[in-house]
Amino acid sequence: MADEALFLLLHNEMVSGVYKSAEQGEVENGRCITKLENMGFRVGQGLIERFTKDTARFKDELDIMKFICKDFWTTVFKKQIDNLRTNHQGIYVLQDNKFRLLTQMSAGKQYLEHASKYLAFTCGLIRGGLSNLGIKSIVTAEVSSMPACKLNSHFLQMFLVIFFFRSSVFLFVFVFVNLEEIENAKPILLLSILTFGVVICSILIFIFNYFLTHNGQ
Amino acid sequence: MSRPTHRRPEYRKINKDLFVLTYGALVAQLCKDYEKDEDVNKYLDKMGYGIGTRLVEDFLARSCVGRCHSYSEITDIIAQVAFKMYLGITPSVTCNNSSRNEFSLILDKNPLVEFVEELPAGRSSLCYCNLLCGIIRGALEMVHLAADVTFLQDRLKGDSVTEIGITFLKKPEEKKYRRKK
Repeated sequence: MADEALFLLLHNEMVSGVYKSAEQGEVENGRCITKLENMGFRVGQGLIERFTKDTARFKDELDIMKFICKDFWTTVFKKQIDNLRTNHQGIYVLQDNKFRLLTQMSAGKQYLEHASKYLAFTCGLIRGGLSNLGIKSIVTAEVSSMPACKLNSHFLQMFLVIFFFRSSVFLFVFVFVNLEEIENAKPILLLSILTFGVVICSILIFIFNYFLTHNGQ
Repeated sequence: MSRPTHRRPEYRKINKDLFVLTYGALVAQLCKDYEKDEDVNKYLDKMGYGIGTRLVEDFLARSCVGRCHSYSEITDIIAQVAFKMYLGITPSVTCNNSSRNEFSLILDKNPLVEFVEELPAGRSSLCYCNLLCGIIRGALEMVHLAADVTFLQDRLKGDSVTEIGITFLKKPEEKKYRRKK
């Protein structure tokens, strides 16, 4: 199908349009990248819904990433991801040695500084796709030599756990402040409350971590 | 350009969905950036013009259309070859006036509005598919044909069909044939 040409041209026009209407400067550059990424996010959400309508449930995160690297990438960019690396702790690096949106731009180091503009939409696409599969993530891209690019996706699993830990600490400090009248027993009470607090925190962290890892599948 | 033959039919649909969804996200972003509908329409037309100037080369490389000898032939090729190739639809062509330089393409099925239910509130004069007008205008200009392309009817605005009007502007010499290659 000749849709590929249409999408490529539309994407290039979008990038040039977004940058033409913005002034020079670092802040504006960041704003444009955010705009493109948000557009990609919307598209990724819709696309992954239509795509995974009839596929089986994913077993774990690695399964999801493999789906993105093979089926999703093949449909959108007519080829698979060349290399997938992970540290098994939520960071995945997808490497594409001949990224479709950059092949027609240069084959080396020329225009390297402009490459990030053309990757923002794709980063949003992946982030949107993952978001509708139940995974919160941050996706960044780096280009060392056109047309190869690396996309890093960092799964945000620990976010909720850290939040609950912090709120538990504040709760116990508050309790301590209100027990001022019990003078003698204060240090013992404080110690017991703190110990109790640490135990509760660990249990909460364990429970929420368990639910987070097994909830999105 | 060869296509893998074992491709599942859903993949082709999803490929088209990618373009349609991207276009929708673009229009949504433009509606956020610009207050007036005319600005959005103008921007879409300008964007379409840029795409059209490049798309015509891709079109001529893929199709093997020969020289065209009249405006109606050109409009037929746009409807039957170009639209079919890129959007998978074949609009019907009608000629609007006797001097044979005003034509209409009537689209009964518009893939670009597949996911659009209705225009957003307060955007009643938004030409959602104005990109198409720009593309046709840009493509024709690259083959040395000046034309005015607008939407005459739009299903999203309540009309029964979507109609694109192409008005070829007068050439300086009538007898000189322009090569379409």
